[in-house]
Amino acid sequence: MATLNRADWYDIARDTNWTPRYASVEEIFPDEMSDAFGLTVEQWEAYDEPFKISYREYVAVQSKKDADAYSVKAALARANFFDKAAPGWISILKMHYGAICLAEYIAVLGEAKMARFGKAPGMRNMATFGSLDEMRHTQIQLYFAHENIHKSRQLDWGLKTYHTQNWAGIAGRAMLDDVILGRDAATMSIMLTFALEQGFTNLQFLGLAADAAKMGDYSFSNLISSVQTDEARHAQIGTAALKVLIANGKKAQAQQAVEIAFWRNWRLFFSLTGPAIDYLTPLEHRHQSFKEFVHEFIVAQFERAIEDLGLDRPWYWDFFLDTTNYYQHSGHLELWFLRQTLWWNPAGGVTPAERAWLEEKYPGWNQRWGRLWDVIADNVQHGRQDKLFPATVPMLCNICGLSIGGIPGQGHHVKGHWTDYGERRYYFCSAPCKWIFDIEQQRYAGHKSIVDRLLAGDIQPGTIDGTLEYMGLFPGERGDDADDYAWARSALPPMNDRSAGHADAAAGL
Amino acid sequence: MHDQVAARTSGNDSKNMVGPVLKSGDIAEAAIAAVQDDNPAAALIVENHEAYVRIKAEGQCLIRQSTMEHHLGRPFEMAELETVLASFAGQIEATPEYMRFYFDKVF
Amino acid sequence: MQTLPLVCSFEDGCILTLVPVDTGATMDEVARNVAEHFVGRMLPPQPSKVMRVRLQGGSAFLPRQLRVEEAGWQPLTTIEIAYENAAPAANA
Repeated sequence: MATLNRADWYDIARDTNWTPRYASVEEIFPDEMSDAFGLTVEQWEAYDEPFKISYREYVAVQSKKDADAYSVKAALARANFFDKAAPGWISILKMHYGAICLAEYIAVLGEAKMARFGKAPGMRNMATFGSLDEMRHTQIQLYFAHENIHKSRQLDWGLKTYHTQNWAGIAGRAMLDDVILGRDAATMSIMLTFALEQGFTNLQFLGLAADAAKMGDYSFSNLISSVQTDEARHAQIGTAALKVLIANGKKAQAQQAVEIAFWRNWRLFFSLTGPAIDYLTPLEHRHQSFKEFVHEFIVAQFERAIEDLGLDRPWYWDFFLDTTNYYQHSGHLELWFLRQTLWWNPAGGVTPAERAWLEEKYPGWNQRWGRLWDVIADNVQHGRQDKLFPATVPMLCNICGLSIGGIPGQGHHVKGHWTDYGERRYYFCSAPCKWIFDIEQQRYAGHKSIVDRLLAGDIQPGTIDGTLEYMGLFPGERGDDADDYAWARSALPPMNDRSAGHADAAAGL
Repeated sequence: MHDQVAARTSGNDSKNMVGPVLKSGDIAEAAIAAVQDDNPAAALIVENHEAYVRIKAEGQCLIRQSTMEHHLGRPFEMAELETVLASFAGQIEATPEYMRFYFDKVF
Repeated sequence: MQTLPLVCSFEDGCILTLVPVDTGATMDEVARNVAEHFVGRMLPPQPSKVMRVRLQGGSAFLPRQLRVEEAGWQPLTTIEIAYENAAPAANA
């Protein structure tokens, strides 16, 4: 039987803007759920989703994607990849599942909110598919994570992270609450689908897929690149929304939404994807540096998209570009020190060969971070266990929830930022995080990082063990060095042979 | 770094390069061939990143359903390209007859 | 005597750390307390140099015998520990 071409019936089929008789438009689409920009339903009728797909096509395409991902997994099930892979790579898998699985579930709720409260029929239609997409991402990634749960309890964090008071879980929730759960459909379409999905998910889901393929982890590579094909479609929800908003004089407000969400996502993704790509992936399987992936997907691709829609580069763009040189390195060092608080085992990733790669990708790395890792390696070599862990906590940002990093070897390059509001001081990692807080202080006030909770006496006993238990980390789950410190024992000549070099280097800076 | 698997360009990687990022495999290979047929005048670069290929065409990148069928040697619905379309540069227009990537503002 | 939590940067380090200090401590004692969390953990010792305390954004070191309770600091005041004879901070 001949069927109509999709273009001949699509607009009628998805145009569900009926005239309500039993409730007012304002009751059906309250601004706080639908549209903080306050456009009318009529204004939203100009919304034209660029990536059109029918339900029949959606089901056919998605079933093909699932069949593909599961069949690769099944074909490799007997290959015992998990038992053979380098420990650093296994850590990436644990980190990924713990950070991502339930974040996908929060995105289910976000897409569902756009499907119900979006004022544009096209947004509701695409977000219905988007919500189903995110359900697939949640379930398929939990399923893959649990395949090996009998081999490591750390994989249970796929389900666990966001239900704990772990500092990284707090950081993830704060971002997801701000860009997804705590926003109306229109704002979320910009923050979630444009800034997060069109910008940053590429780094984790394609950057790591590229490394995974080189690793021979075809199951994971295929899984996450399959997930990203859903993102490429439903991320277009925001593109169409931005066109409507800009056409109706809301550019400044839309620009601000992009800037808030872009920065918040950058803060989380550098700390997650950065160390994975620059330190945890075995050297011989690295495809590009994290900075190169950022330049491919964010600078060349996303910045150009911002420009094409008639938006401006975020005000902090030059600072953002500068941080692509150092955030991931200081972040990795700090994660390594905090390894007991993680559900994965960070690898040092600084053997002589790895240092050479880091120096090539980030000229000056040895002078900056290499000198710090020398001190750590020396402590390992001399069995100074107590020096391999922090004796206090790092200061954490009240917006992004992460530690505050700068460039070592440059005096006091790292700087704090703060705002005194109400009864207390809110602390920030950077000018953009402070800027976000100051835009809407009452929205963010009350946030308590693990540091704030320790100071307030919320964590009892306030010992290291007490804090780890408070964060949900029980023996068998707490991270340790992925390679049992082998990198440090094999790596370097004793410290005192090189201390003269240090003084010279310091003078040179 | 990635290799270039195909190129038809003066060597300039301009600000106006658009196109899909595809999961590697037979559909991606057919798309690489189709892009060369469907955009005869455009400068093209294809980067191999192993897990994915990035196809870049200057100004506009068109992929027709009929050209995909020709290169795959089997029936192909345009929507099926989504099974491998992991990301893309530029804006997108998706119809049953073709997918098109483009910029509104060209420099 | 009470404990005051301070946010601390140490010369050539790359993160900010929370360090609780006694309000009766002198600036020299504060510097040594903060150094404990950086020197020998991620920074090499420089025993021949004198460590001094200043506020983030401040240009002058605080007197070495000044006590914390005399400095007028509130919780989460941000300080920098620097070597006295070192070059000025890169972007203070």
